[in-house]
Order: sequence, then structure tokens, then C-alpha cells
Amino acid sequence: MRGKRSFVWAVGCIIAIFLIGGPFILPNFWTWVVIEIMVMSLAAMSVNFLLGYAGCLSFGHSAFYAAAAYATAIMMTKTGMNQYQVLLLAPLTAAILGAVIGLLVSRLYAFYYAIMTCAFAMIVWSIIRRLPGLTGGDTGIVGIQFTGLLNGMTNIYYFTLAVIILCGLILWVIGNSPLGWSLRAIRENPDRSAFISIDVIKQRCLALVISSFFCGVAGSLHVVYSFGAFPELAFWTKSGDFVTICILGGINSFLGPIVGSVALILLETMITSVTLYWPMVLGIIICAVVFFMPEGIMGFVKKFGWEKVNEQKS
Amino acid sequence: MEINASLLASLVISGMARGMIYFLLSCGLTIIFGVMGVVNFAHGAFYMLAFYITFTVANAIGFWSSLIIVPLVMILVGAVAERGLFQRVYKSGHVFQLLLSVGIIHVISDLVRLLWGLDPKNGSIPNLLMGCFDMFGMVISKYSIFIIGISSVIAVVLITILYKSKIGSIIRACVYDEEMTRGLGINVSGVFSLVFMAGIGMAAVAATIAYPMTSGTLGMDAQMIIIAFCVTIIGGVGSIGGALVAGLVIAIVESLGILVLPQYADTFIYVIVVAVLFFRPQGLFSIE
Repeated sequence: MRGKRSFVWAVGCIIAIFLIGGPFILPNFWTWVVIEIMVMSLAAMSVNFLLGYAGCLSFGHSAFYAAAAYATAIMMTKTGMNQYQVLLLAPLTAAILGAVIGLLVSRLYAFYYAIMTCAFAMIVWSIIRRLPGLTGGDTGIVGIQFTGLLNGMTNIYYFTLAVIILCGLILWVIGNSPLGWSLRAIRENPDRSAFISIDVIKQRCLALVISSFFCGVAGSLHVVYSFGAFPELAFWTKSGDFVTICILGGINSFLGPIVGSVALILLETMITSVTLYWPMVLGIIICAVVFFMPEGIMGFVKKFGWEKVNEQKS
Repeated sequence: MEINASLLASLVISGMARGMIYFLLSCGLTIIFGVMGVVNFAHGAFYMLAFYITFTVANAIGFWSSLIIVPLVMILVGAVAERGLFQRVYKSGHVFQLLLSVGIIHVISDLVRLLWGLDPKNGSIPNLLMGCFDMFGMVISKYSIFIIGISSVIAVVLITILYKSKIGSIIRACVYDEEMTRGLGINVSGVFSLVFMAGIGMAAVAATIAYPMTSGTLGMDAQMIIIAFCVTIIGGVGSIGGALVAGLVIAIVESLGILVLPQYADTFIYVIVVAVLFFRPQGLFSIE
């Protein structure tokens, strides 16, 4: 048991050192990849917050991601606001959108919830493409430059890392707060939760708002590292990617989304350098996960690592 | 643009034609969901695949034979997909069912890109369907009449099978109580395959008859699946009649919307969806 635990500590320390020294250890290309992984993990964590705790499968998180990205881009280019104010306000835009959508979808369950969130994301997508004056239409908004603390690869890297760690901690705290536990209760049985005076619809709506806020943070960070906002961010495939990452990592685990996004984006980066047909590979990976690894990578690790620890313990 | 009765009438007719295509597409989705409890997100992708196959077949042999060949090919594809993939997730819960269909969408749309390339594929109207009728001063294209005719026939056949035949009662029994039906000694998984194949076949018919007026692009699957979802939500899940009414309503609103606010024609659909969801979340004609 002690061996296992110190092994986990050792791996944790290596990852920590690796993350802290990131831009100095890694070549430029891979540093950008790590930034992308971090942003995707935050978005997937926000999806996992809904899926893992509240049991709501959202196929519409691309709406929040894109809303915040566009809010950031529009405020940066059209208004003279301070960039830090912009980065604080943009996720709030996503949260407001989340509240509006949440009011409409929080009564729905399972498929209905997934389909309706997806439909709303597509509404956002079509609105973005229909307002070329504001959003740049199909081309999007490009060439957004941040200054000061957010200028240059190294700065962006550390800023993103700090934001991700902060948001992860907040999500962890919320997940283990009374709200988190009542969401788990709702996931297990909405009717019984209602009997013990949990306001089911309100709690689920609140969960969506929180989740959309953090997805919005990821969306704003997307603008920071890619210098632009594009309509594809609102397209349903983006939501599909988030959900895939959650399942690939493992939905019953807090670290699942991070592991999932590391795995998926590393694969994407390596495979796209070989072939143009990454979506097909992605589709096959998804089918394989569904059939052979429904618990995700974390479930796999737990099965072959942690369970042995528990056996030794008992 | 001057708005008069004849323009309005021809817009409504062309809207109806498109509405029937929406109906054919969504009734496959809605039956599959009603019977198996699986939302087939990939329905739009199957539609797109059928469209591209139609393009090849229509160019090689001709439009009229593709009307028979493509649905048959797609029924085969549906059988393979059901037996090989969907059958294994019926018990896995909605998250995995949706994820599996997302995977299938990725594979199909990339396969289409691989086989047919990126450039849009435009259909052409066969000679027989070119031109217009002149009825009571209204100009109505033959093609719209063709679509409305063929899909009405399919709708009538479908509803007759579902409500008057033995296999229809078995399917309805599966919707109602799958376990009890199985208990009565009925081969439920066979019924599932049949329904899935029929659903995909219907999407293929929709794609084939839509072929002459549509420009096929790689994004068309997303466009169609969203419309199919809207139809399903408005009409109520599992209701064929609801799908018919909702498909027609959506398409006619779309055509008339082009007249009023051309840029936002499809936004009207979403407004209807949100309104229905708000006031009648189970859909207008829900069986529940």
C-alpha cells in the first residue's frame, strides 16, 4: 500500500514539476498544445460538473464556450475596456446565457435535456453566423492581442495554468458543498429529492449556471491563446468533444476530464500530423470507449491500481 | 416584392413539399426513439450518406432508379449499424447511446469527405418533373406535387401498417411495454432491427426525393438533425401524426419567414420550439 501511495505521489510531483517548468522544458509547439489541453480540461470539467454530479448530459456547452469567446473578442475590439475587466465579464455573459437556457431546460431529463441544450447551442451558432456586423459572420473575429501579463507564450501559459487551478479548486469545493450533495441526490432520484424538500428544478438550473460560467472561463481563455473567436466554437461537435473527453477520462472521477483531455488532444495532435482524417479516428475511438471502456481511463486505472490498494488495506 | 394570394399559395405549396421531407426524416427518428428509447443523433448523418449515394447513383443510372436503390442500400446500412453497434448499447443508458451516435456521425461524415470530396454536390431535376402547373392562376411546380404525392403515399402506408396490421400492433406494444411484449414470446430484438431499418430507410427516401432541389454539403447532416429534433419536440416524441403536423408547420413557417424577414427565416423555427417547450414540454401530440 505504501508503495502504491508513494508511486502516486511521485507521479504527482513529476507532473507538477513538468507543469511549472512547462514553457522552459517543452518546445514551443508542445507548449501551445499543453495550453490547449488545459483550456479543454476546464471546459470538460464544467461539463463533468453537470454530468457527474447532477447527471445532466449537456450537448450545448459549445454555446457557453462560444458566447464567452465572442463576448471577449467583441469587448476587446469594439470597446475600450481593460482586458482584465473583459476576462471577468465574458464568463458572466456565458452564465447569463446559462441561466436563460437553464430556465427552459431544467425540467427536462435524459435525452430531452441533451437534445434541447444541443438545439440551443445550434441557435447560438446560427445567430453568430447571422450577425456579421457584430461577430464577423463565418470568418469570426481574428487578431485579438492582449497586452501585459497576457502577452507572449510564457505569460499565457502561466496565466492559463493559474486560472485552471483556481477554477478546478472552486469546482471541487462546490462539488463537495451542500449544493454538490443535493445534486448527487437529484441524479440518483429526483422524486425522492423533491420529497426531502430539495428544489430540484432550481438546483439543476443553478448547476447549469455554475457550469456555464466555468465553461465561459474556458471560452475566454480560448481567445487568449488562439487570438480569435470563430463560429465553429458554437457548433455541436465542440460540445460533442467535451462530452467525449468526460467519458474518455471517466465521469465518476474529478480528475477524469483532465486525463481525458490530455489523452484526446495528444492523440489529435499526433494523428493530424499523419493523416487528414482525424474525425474518423475520433469516431472509432468513441465507439471503442463506449463498448470497451465505459468507465473511462480513470475507471481503468482504478480497476487495476486502486482496487488492489483497497484489497491490501482490508 | 408584391405579396398576393398566388405568391402566397406557391410558397405554401413549396413549403409543404419541404415539410413532407422533414416529416419523412423525423418520423424515422421518432419511431426509433419511441420503440427503442434510443435517440439516434446520427440520423442526420445517415440522411447525408443517402444523399451522396443518391448523387452517385443518379449520375450513373438515373434519378428514377435511385429512388428504389438508395433506400434499399441504406436499409442494409441501417441493419449493419443496428446489429453491430446500436444493439449493444440499448441497456447502457442515454449518455453512451448519444456518445455512440456522435462517434458514428464522425465516421460517416469523414467517410463522405473521403469518398466524395469537399465540393458541394448539386442535384438536378429530372425532365419529367421540370416545369410548373398553372392552377387557378397559381404557379405550382411539378416537383413539389411529386414530393407531396410520394410522401403522402408513404405516410398513409406507414400509418396503416402501424395501426391496422399485426406487425404494427407488435411495434406499438413495444412502445408501450417492451418487457411484457417480450414475455408474450415476441422476438423483440427482431422488431428493433426492423424498426431501425425502416427508420433509416425513411431517411433515405427523404434524401432521395430531396436530392433534385438540394445542394449537398458536408454540413448538411447537422442542419437536418436539428430540424428533425425540432420536429420531434414540437410534434411530441413517438407520434407519427405529430411529426407530420410539425414538419409541415416548420417548413411553411420557414417559407413564409423568407417573405417577411429573409435573413432570419430559420430563427422562427427555434422560436416555435422554445414556445412549445415552454408551454407544452411534452410536445403538441405526445402519446404520453
